[in-house]
Amino acid sequence: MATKRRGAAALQRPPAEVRFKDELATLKKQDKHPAPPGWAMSLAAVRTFILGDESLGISRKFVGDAALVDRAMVSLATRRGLMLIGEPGTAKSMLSELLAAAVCGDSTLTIQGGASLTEDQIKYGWNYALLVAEGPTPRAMVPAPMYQAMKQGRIVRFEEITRCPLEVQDAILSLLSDRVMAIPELSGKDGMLFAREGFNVIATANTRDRGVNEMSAALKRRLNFETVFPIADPAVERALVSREAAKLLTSAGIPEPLNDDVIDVLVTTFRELRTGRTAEGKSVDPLSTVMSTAEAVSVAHAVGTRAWFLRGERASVADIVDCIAGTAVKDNAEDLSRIQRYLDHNVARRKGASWQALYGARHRLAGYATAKKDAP
Amino acid sequence: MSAGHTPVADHASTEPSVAQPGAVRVLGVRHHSPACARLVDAVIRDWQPTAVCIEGPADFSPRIGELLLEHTLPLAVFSFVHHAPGTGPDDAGASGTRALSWSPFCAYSPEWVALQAGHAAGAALSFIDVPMWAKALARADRPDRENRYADRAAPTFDHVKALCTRFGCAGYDALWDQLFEQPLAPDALAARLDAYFAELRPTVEASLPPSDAVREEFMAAHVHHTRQTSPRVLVVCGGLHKPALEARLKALEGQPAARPDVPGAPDGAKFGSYLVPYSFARLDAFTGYQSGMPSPGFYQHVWDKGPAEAAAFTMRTVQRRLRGLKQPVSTADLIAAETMTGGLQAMRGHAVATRTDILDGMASALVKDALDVRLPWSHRGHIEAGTHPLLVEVLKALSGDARGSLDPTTPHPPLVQSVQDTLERLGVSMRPGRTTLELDRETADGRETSALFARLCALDVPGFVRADAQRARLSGHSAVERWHVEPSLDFTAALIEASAWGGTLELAVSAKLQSEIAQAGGVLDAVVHALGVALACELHALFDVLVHDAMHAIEDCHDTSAVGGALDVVRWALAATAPDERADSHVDARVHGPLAALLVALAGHQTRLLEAMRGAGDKADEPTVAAVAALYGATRFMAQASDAGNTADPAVRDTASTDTAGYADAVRLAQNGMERALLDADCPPAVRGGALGLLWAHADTSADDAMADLEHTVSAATSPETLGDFLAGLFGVAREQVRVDGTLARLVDRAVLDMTEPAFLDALPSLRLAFQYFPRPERARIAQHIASSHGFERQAHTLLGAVADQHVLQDAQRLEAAVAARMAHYGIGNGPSSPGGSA
Repeated sequence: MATKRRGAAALQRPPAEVRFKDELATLKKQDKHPAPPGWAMSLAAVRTFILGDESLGISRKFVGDAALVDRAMVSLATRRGLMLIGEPGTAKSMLSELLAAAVCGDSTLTIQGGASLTEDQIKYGWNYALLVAEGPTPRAMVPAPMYQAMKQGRIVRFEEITRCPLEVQDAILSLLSDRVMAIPELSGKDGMLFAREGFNVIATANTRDRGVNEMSAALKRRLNFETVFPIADPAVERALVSREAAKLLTSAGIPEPLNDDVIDVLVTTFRELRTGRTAEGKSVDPLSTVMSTAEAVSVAHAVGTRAWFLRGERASVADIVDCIAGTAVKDNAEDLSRIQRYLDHNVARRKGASWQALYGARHRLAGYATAKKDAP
Repeated sequence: MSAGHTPVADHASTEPSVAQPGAVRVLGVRHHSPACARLVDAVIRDWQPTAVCIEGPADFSPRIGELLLEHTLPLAVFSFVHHAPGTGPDDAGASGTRALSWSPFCAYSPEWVALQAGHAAGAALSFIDVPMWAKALARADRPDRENRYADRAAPTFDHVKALCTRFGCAGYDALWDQLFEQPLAPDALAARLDAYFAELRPTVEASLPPSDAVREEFMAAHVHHTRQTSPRVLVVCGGLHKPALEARLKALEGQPAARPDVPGAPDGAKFGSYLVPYSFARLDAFTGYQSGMPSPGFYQHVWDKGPAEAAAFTMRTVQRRLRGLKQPVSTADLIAAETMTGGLQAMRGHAVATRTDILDGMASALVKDALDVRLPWSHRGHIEAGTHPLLVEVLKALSGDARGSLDPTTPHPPLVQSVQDTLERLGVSMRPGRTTLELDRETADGRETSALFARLCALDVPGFVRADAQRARLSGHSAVERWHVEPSLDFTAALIEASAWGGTLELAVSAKLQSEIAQAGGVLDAVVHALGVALACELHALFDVLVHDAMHAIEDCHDTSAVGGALDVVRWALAATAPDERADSHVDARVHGPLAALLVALAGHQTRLLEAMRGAGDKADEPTVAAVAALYGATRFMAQASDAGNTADPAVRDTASTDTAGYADAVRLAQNGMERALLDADCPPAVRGGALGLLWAHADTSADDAMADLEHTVSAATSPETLGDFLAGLFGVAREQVRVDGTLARLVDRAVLDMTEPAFLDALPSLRLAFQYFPRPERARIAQHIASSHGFERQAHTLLGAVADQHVLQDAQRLEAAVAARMAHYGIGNGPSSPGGSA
């Protein structure tokens, strides 16, 4: 926890409770509603923190469904674990970070799921030198996030939980239902850790990985599931991409933000290739690559950066073709021909200079196609 | 259309005239809102209006008493306007001006409560909105059916969206529940509604359809007239109209008042309004058409027991439904759902849980999967495909299954009564449960019943199904028909709605068929389909018109599938109406002649189309094969009829003699055409194969001679690439004549072995199609031939065992070939494996 370090500004990405320290303080001061046991603030204040309130100077951080935020908070407040699930790049991890920061003031108790994750990275491990010297004592124990969260009454973020082996996932079963962790190595009262008020788990999983089908029914039963969808409203997504890309470009030292028509073409293209339906109601082949808002932001960043550092000028619509191709060739060569078809059949017929510019740059795809073919 | 009489209408005119205009109070409501309904009830009790004016079709006002009978809700006022063919100002557009409208009521509709409470208070009741035909005319882009109380535009207003964001609501329905459906004192609710609609109206003025101004002017004139004679006038209308209506009423003050004329329907149009039973399924915005509100079952409960009880009720209903479907819903899950609902309710500051709180709570606690599509209640419109099945069931539980029924004394359109009378006269029981009837078309009663059922089917009246339709087609003429009769709860509603087509069954079916033909642009298949229906319905006047139309449509039709379909329909119709000395044959003979002429014309046209087809490399597909098969079916039918005409006794020959001459020529022409097609190398192989089948079947050669001839013909007509396509045509047309014995099996086998790998993959779909025309035992025999010729006596069944999709097989073969090629490239393995086997 780096709450009061002077060098916070120099960090690449400080945790949410540091980035939004002032907002959290304002909300706590203004909070008139009762807070659930163990919570740093009331549900209404958490909601305002995440969804924003201009009159209080609180920025909107999550642009998705407000009802989803309601349900997520109430799940946590009613001591159900929360499972956020959805396509990659739908801001699940960000939502979990914001929730943890607001609810307990600490978003850093994080377990990153993966094939190599073991139970001692979840609950506790041992300092082997001390263990050999002293035997199993509280001093020799190395607490992992789950232990710390239970002890301090905090939120644990379990990222990509479905990427862990099943038996490791199930390690949190009894912690969630009985709210107690047994430590058989220790004797006396140290042998049982009872969770303090405020302890809970926010898990995330993405539907492109293994999904939740292999998760045990027992664990599923202890979690409330919330699916996070891509942003439904095109205008909201456009504004978000524009804002985030501008932030990234500024931090990269590029003074000029992207043109509106570049953002417009980029976001529309992403939405159409994601949903498989064009603004005119025609169907197109959706890409198998993830075309998330987060990906759109990173492509917008790439478009701006390329143009500025390679040519020393503002990005044009044609730059999008290069960057989208780079995104699309990630895992499926077929996606390139889908983009090709999209340009030929849909974009070609659109009026407007920016769409024609995008169509005009279609030849730039060819380089990626041959590059892909040559790859083993 | 006849108008019923009412004991209540024009109560106002009997009141003593008052010197000062009466006071007017306008209650702006949302249609189908329990809170608004309660408010209407409270205001009427409190204020005791002497007249209640309600937004509803003014043409129904004189019959408003019908709504006060002992009905079971929901019900609707159904209105229609329709130019019957031949009566409209312009016949060509006759079907275009047909429009239907429903004004649905349920127990918690403010309009319904206004009617009932107003009646109880002794007030004069009237509907004050324009009739639906005036609405339809005011807006040209309106679709031909509408729900008067749909409330469709509300969720799209920017102002509403902004309010949703401000109050953190997922959509218009959630916003409405939060603002208005919470427990509120009537005065507070009224003030809140007024403020909401007064703020909303100016923001949407520009997006309102022009017809709204016409309607508001009409409503204002109506109310102005009413207040001249009534001291206290309560107006119940959509909230969005309220500000405009009040402004207009103010402007009218002191002006002379005359009862506004109810706009009549356009000249020559038929129109009418009737009560119809409605259902919650049709009311529900998730399933119904243009519905005003979601989850009617839920709001019914809110109305019956109050909003505080609704959460517990919903939990119970959902639990019962899910467990009834054998879905595991544990007590712990239900507790979790209730806790979630309570938490959401508290957090959103609701005094009682709203529908969205309850649904959100259930979605969180009960669904244990990732969702593929958004929660259905987070947006407006039908439930999207891919919605989690559990949520679909939850919504069904909230939708409720209530169905309305009308008081027995409710006036129905004459059509309903005449159908009921006819059913009774013919002894058809309409008791619940399914009965099967055998109708002998040779008796007058059987024939009439059959036609009646067919007409009801044609009008989409549920409950009458021909049980032996398929068999009748295969076996041709049969005097006995089997029908399943299963009276549906929608029977009366469907009949009332069908009466929009015409006053009698005959007129209604004719109008509907002609409208369908007009909509399809008068193309051949639509005309011929209608012809078949007209025959079954015994609509002889229409039949003559349709035969005439069909004759004209033939030349414009260049689609062999359409002509093939028409050939089949006409042939079946001819078989079913074959003149027969036992039957009531003077009617059949009347239709038989024109049908026979049509068949001859169709056969000639199809021959020309097939013969002219180009595409030597075209793959065989089922429509093409079916088109040749239809021609064969027709020629065989004509040949048999022609033979019978030459040999049968004179009595029969007399009735059919004009046909047979035409038949024999038609068969000859078809044969000549098919002979040319067979020899034409540019003709698609499937057509050439079909042509061979047709000629063969007509040639009357013995099977052995034919088989001997086959090898020669097939070899001459095909190359390895086109063999499968050719055979598909041949087998599809003349399966009965072709006996696949050693000769043909060997022929095919040899051809397959000669093919290269890509050629085999290419031919595989056609070969599969070709052999599909054989029944399974015959395919087994063919497999036996192939297997034994390769020395695998016992494995024949494995050749038929491949049930995988042909594309999977093709993909597998391609993959194998690619692997083999790669192996050969690196000098390992034996190169590509030999083709065959799994076809």
